[in-house]
Amino acid sequence: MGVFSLLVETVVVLSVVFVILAYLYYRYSSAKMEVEREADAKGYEDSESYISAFMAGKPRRLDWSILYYNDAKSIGLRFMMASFIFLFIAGSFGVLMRLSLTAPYPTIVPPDIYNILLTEHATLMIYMFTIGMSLGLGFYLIPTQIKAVRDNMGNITSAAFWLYLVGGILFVLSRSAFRWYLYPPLSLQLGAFGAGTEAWLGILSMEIIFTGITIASIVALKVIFLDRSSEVPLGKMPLFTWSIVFTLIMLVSSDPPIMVALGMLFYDYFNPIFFVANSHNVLLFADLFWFWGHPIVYIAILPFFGIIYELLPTFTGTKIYSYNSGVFGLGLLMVLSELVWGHHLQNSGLGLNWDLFFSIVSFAVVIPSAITVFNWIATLWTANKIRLTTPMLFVLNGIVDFIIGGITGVMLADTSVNEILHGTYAVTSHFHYVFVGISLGISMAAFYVIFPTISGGRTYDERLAKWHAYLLAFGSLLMSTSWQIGGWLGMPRAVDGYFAWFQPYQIGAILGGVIIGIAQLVFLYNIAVSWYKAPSTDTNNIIENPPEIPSEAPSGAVGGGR
Amino acid sequence: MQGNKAGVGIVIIVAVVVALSFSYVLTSPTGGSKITIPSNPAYTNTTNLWADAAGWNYGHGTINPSLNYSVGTVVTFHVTEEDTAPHTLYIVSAPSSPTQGPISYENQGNGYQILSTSQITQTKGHTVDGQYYFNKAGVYVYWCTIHPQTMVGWLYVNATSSSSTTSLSAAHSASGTGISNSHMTPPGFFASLSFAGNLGTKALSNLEGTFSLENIPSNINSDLQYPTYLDMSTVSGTTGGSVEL
Repeated sequence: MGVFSLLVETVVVLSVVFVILAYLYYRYSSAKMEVEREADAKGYEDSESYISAFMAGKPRRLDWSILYYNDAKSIGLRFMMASFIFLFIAGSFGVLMRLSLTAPYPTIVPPDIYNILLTEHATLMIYMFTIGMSLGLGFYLIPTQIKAVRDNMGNITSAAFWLYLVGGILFVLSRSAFRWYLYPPLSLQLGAFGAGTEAWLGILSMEIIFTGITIASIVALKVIFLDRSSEVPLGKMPLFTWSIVFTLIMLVSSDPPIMVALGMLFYDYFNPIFFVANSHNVLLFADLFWFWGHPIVYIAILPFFGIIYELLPTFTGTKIYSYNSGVFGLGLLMVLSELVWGHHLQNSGLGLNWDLFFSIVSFAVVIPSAITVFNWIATLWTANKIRLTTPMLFVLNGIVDFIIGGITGVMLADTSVNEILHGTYAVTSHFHYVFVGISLGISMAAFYVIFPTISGGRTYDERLAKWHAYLLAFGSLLMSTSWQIGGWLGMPRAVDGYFAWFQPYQIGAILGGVIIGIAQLVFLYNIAVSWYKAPSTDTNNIIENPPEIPSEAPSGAVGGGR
Repeated sequence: MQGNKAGVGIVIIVAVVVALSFSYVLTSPTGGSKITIPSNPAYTNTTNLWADAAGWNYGHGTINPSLNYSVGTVVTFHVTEEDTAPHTLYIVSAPSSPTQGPISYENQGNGYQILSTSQITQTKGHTVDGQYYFNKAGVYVYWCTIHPQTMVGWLYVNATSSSSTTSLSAAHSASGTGISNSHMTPPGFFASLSFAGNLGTKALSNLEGTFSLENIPSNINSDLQYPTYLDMSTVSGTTGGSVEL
């Protein structure tokens, strides 16, 4: 292609993109102006309060208006839908990576592209899917749960959402290949190298994502603490709200270090003084990253613990076994999450004393995790009858997966075990147990629960939904278990090939990954089909309007050991 | 997005976005995984290989011969099939210790594939050519991934001398360049360079020290899954040796 035709093509593509964007912005702003005018005419201070007022008590349905209504529920749906789309992007990247490993050498994608897929899968899943889903569920459910009396910072949250979305899109466009932890000097490659990777754009987009989620978290904290109805004192806040509180505190307290580190990293492009070898601080970036990087993995699961706490009472017909220990467990997880970042760096030469410190604190994480799991199991144990609905299947699978993932994870925190398992698939297995079981599974459960609300009273196909649950559970177990065995035998992770004697474990993981992919396709098909049916149920959902549970359990139920 | 079609809308949006991201990422320009064969190389060489499950060149002189080339040689491997078994021809960097498995080469786990099973057609007498451009000095292994225990041999790319002398470069030694013997145990296995062979016909001016055969692990074959080129039958009556390098 000559320079001239290249130029013409670029100009045409850019013009089309700009025309589309301008049209979308026109639709967006005119719709928004109409809302503002209505709010003005009715005498409201801002459009968010107006929307919240006329939406109060009504279910929030999914339609285009979520894009220009700035009330908390619309923004929550916006976050959830965006994170769903990123889930499917990142998930399909993950399945493609698996499929490329059918042979010991790369088959479908070349190594350079494998590295991009690896980075995009991890980053999009963690930053765009789990954080987006946490914030989305938070914004969607919390105003009801705390009976919010005010909803007046929607414009700021809306801006935060668009920052988050633009950051995610730019990250895909950057074709980054520096894994999700952006270690320099790999992330300090300025120009396009390998497969056209633009690391600078990756760093910039991460900074944009962080800006967005930080702003959104601060607003959400403000909603919870300042806009809460006096009917809901702190001690009676639902456990989901508590889990969001702890999540947001973690977010706000631990992402300044990584934002600063990203700024320093970007500065290094122009004046390499911070994270270069002669700065005598080669571990500085890793420390700054993991100071955020460990809390983020708790951010990715804590809200879903909260959802489990919300779903269990309905489907077991009993109250949560212990509300106080639930809050305590979640809070202790928050505190400990800030102290264990060094267990990601145990082979980096922090020194034996630090290694032992981080190892011991990581073992201490077992305490709040066990409190939480015990609370769930005790709730199940004291139940008269457990209804195995689709959300409940996801919850049970999540509990099992979290137990396995937690045990395999705490073994990794042992300094000497870490020495051999570090960098093997055992690590991948550990966090995929937790992420697929808790983050993915429970967000699916939450979506099924709120489906009648957002679809205006439609019911999902129970049979397909159960297939989804069973396939996801089986695929997750197969994939992560194969990795766990292979990892203990020394199968290195994050590479595009493997030694041929690891083939059985890789094949197991490929099957598991493909099954998870198929499960998600079943889910998509279910949505499309179910939305075609006529509305047939009421639009309440059990998280926003939990059914009344008798405070006194029926006689004979408590103790459960019948 | 209100009404019955909202679900389909979601599916379409997801499909379009996923397809866009796929096409964007998968069309990334990849570099370095394909070897460019220069049209005007410094040297060219055609090496005849006979593919037999019992070993390369089985029945045609030395089995699994060590191959020596100069840097900058485009080598054409002219492979003749001797049996009806499937074979491949791969090039991989030599392991640096006896316990290390094959290490990747050209970004591929098994090494760079010169000929695949589909090119070697399992027809007796069929010939096929594969080319590779050796532009880095070092010790390589050529092997058939289907018969890794039998069909595997060393390949030396020499940085200094021409292909007219059978010299090889010792990748892990300070002064190994110019030590010449095609039967030499490949360097890199030991702290000392050990070798065996009929040294009477070779110039040994560059070597100093005393020589003896030693430090050769007996389990080297089973550990590495590569046969070594220590042909014990040729040791007798010669000066075998090892020298601290």
